Amino acid sequence: MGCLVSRDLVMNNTLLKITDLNKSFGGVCATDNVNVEVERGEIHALIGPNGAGKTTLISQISGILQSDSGEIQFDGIPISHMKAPARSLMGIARSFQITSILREFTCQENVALAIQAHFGHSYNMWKPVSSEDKIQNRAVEVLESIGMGELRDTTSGDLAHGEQRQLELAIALAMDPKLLILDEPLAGMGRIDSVKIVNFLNGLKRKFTILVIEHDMDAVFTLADRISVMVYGRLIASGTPDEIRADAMVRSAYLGVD
Amino acid sequence: MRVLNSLQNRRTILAILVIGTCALAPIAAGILDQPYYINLFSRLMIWAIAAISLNLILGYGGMISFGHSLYLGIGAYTVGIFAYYDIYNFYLQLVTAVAVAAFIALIFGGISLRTRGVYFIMITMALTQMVYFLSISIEEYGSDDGLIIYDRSDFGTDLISMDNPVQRYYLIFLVMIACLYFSHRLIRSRFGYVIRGTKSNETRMEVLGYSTFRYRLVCFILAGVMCALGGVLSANVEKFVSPDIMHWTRSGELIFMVVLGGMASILGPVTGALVFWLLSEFFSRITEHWHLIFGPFLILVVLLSPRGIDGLLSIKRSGNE
Amino acid sequence: MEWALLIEQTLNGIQFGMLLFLLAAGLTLTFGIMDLVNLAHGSMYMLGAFVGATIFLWSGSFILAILLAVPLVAGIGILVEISTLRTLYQRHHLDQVLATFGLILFFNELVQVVWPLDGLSVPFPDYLNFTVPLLLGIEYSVYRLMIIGAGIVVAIGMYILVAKTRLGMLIRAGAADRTMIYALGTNIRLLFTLVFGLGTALGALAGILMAPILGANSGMGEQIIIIAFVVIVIGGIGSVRGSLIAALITGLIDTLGRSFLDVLLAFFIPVNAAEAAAPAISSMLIYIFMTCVLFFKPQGLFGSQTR
Repeated sequence: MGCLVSRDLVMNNTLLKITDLNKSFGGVCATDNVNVEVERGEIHALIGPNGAGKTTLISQISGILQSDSGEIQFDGIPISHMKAPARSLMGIARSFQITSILREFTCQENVALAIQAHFGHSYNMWKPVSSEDKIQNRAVEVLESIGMGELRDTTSGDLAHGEQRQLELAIALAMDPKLLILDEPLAGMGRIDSVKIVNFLNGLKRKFTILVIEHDMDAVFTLADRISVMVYGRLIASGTPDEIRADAMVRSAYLGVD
Repeated sequence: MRVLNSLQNRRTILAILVIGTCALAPIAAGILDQPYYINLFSRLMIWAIAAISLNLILGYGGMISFGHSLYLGIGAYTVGIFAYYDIYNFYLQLVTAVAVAAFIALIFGGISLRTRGVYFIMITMALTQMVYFLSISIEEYGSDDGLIIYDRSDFGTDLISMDNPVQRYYLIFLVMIACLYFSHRLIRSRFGYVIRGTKSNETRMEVLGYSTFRYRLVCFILAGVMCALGGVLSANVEKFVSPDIMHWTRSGELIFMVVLGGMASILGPVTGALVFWLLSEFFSRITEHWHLIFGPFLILVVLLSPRGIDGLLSIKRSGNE
Repeated sequence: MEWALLIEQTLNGIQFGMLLFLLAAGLTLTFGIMDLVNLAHGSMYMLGAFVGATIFLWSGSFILAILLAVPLVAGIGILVEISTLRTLYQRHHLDQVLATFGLILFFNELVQVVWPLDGLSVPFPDYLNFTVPLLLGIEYSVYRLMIIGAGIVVAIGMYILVAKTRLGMLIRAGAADRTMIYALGTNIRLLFTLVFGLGTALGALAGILMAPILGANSGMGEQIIIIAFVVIVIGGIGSVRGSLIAALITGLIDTLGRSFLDVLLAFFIPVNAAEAAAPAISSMLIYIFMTCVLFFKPQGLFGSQTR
C-alpha cells in the first residue's frame, strides 16, 4: 500500500478524520476500510474511476448514508451516529453530482433557504421570508459572488445546465460551511464555464476547506493541495499532486488507463 | 411580463367571484326567498375549510393523505359527544376538539410520516378507517345511526347565536377567510418554505440542515386541527353527526376538491369545493345515478388537467411550465 | 366447548386470510410491477361477485359461474387498463389514486343500475353445502374448506409463477428496482396488460367465492380492499410471499379478535366492561397490528428497502 500521507502535520489541524469506514450494498463493498484525513484550509481532491465508491463515501460523510462500520470525526467530534441535518448544522455542506436544486423556486429562494437553515429555527408561520433582510441580503451577496446576481429572480428549473451547476455550488457556499464537499462540480459543463468555476474555486482557497470529487484531471491538479485516489472502494493512495503523479500504483490503476 | 399580469388578473377575478359568491349567498337567498341556500352554502364552506387544510399537506407538502375526513369527524363528534352529556359551551367544545385533533394527528402523523409514497397513502386511509369502524362499534354514541345534537353550541353571550342561520353563516365565512389568510401567510413564511422545499426535494432539505420529519409532522398536525374546526362547525349546521362524515369516500372527495381547484394555490380548495358542488348538482339533475357520469368526469380531469382550474387559468401562458 | 369454538374460529380466520390473499396478491402485483396504486381493485372483486352470482343463479352451475365470470371480469379489467390506467403508470401516485377513485364511484353506481335490487343473495352450491366432522366433534363447512383450498392452490401457482417463470423474474426485478423492468422486457405494454388481467382475475375469483357467504352488494369492494391494503402494507408492497403471510396473520387476528377478545379482556377488567369494550377494540386490532409492524419495519415484513 502506498502510504504517502505526510507525518509532519499537527493533529488539531485535521478537520475531518475518517477511520476504517465501510459500506456495502447487498454484499458489494462500495467503501472498503477507507481512511482519509482532510486538513483545515486545504482543497482535497478525491479521484478514481467510475464506481470506485467516491459518491458513497461523501454520502457517508454528509449523513445521507449510514455507515456499516468505522468512525467519522469532524472538528474533533465523532459524528457517525448523527443524521444528515445535524451534520449540516455542524458545518458540513455538500453539492450533488446530479443537480439537486429546488426547481420550483427562484435562485434567490434556493440560496435563502440554505441560509435560513443555519439562522435560527424555521417554525415561524407568519412572517414572510422575503421580509427577512439579513437572509435576503446574504443570499444576493452569495449569488453575486458567483456571478449569478442577475439571475436571482429566475426560476431555477428554467436555468441552463451550467447555471444550475453554479447554483448548486452557490447553495453549498451559502451555508458558510466549515467543510465544503463538492461532487463533480464541473460535470456536464462546457469549457468556458469550467474555467470560470475552476477560477472561482481557486479564489475560495484558504477561505474554505474543500473536499472535491472531480474527473477533470487538469482541474484537479490545478486546484488540489492533496489528492486521494479510490479504486474499487479502497483508498489506494493519498498525497500531494506531485506524489500522486509519481505513484506507480496510481498510474497503473487509474491515470494510465485514462 | 404582460402575460404574467393577465394570469394575475384572471386569478384576482376568480378570487373575487368565489369569495363574493360566498359573502353574498345569504343575501341572495333572502332575495330569492330560498333560505335553503344558506345551509347549503354553509356546508359548502365547511368542505372548503377541510379542503384548505388538506391543501396545506397535500398541495404544499406533497403528503397524499387519504384519511383527512377523520379530522372533520373528530371536530363533529367532539361537539356531538359533549352535547350528549348536555354540555354546550362553545369554548370548551372548541378547545377539546383542537386538543383531540392535535393529539390524534401527532400519533397518526408520527406513524404514517415514517413511511413514504404509496405506504403513506394506504396507512392514512387505514387509520381513518380504523376510527370509522370504532365509531360504528360504540353503541353509546349511536354507532352507525349517529348522534342527534339537540342544541347548538352556546357562546355564553346574546350577541351571537349559532341558532341564527345568518349569524352562523357569517361565522363560518369568517373562519374560512381566516383559514385562507393563514395559509397565505404560512406558505410565504420560513415554515412554508421548508414544507414546500421538502415536497420538492427532501434529500436536499436534509442536507441543508432541516429535520424534515419534524416540519412535516407539525404541518400534518396543523392541517388536522384546521380541519377539525370545520367539523365543529359542521356539527352546528347539521345538528347531527354520524360515522359517514369520516367515510373514506369523503376523504377522496376532499382530495378531488383540492386537485380540481388547483393544488398549491391558496384559493384552489375553495374554488374546488364550489365547482365540486355545482357539478354534483348538475349531474344529479341528469340522473339519480350521477356517479355514473361523475366517476368518468373525475378521471377525465385527472388525465386532461392535472393542475386543476388554477392550471387552466394559466393555459395561455406560453413557454415552459 | 371453548376448544371447539377456538378451532372453528381459527379455520374461519384462515379462510378470511386466504380471501385477503387472493385480493392482496393482485394488488401487490400491479403495484410491484407497474407502480400503480389501484384503489379500484375492490370493484373487480365486487363485479366478480355480481357476475358470478348472476351466472350461477341463471345456470345453476357454480363451476360454470367461475369459468365464465373470471375471464369476463378479467376482460373488463383489461378494458379498463387499456382505456384508462395504462396512461397513468408513469404519472404521480396522486393521479392514480384519484382516477381509480373515479372508477370505484362509477362501478358502484353501475352495479346499482344493472342489479337494481338491494344486492343479490346467493345460495351455496348443493354439492358443497354440507359439513364434515373434524376433531373434537367439530362440524365444519366444506365450502369454507374449499375456499382455503383455493387459496392454497393460488399460493402455489403464484409461487411457481414468481420463482420459475420469466414473468416471475420480471416481478422480482420490479419489486427490487422498478427501472429494471424497462431494461429487461421487450413488450412491456402487453406484459403490463397481462399482469393486470391476472390480478383482476384473482380479485374476481375472490368475489365469486365469497358471494354465497356474504351475498353481492354495491360497495362490498371497498370494505375489504382497505383491509387488503393493510395486508400488503404489513407484508411489504411488491412481495407475494409477504402478502400471503400477512393475509393469514390479519385474517386470524381479525376473526379471533372478534370472537375471543371479550373473554380475554375479562381476565383483566370486569366482565361487563370487557363486553362493552371488546367490539370497539377488536374492530381496531388489525390496524393496531399494522402500526406495530410499521413501527419496527417501515417497509413492511418483506418489503424492499429501496422504496
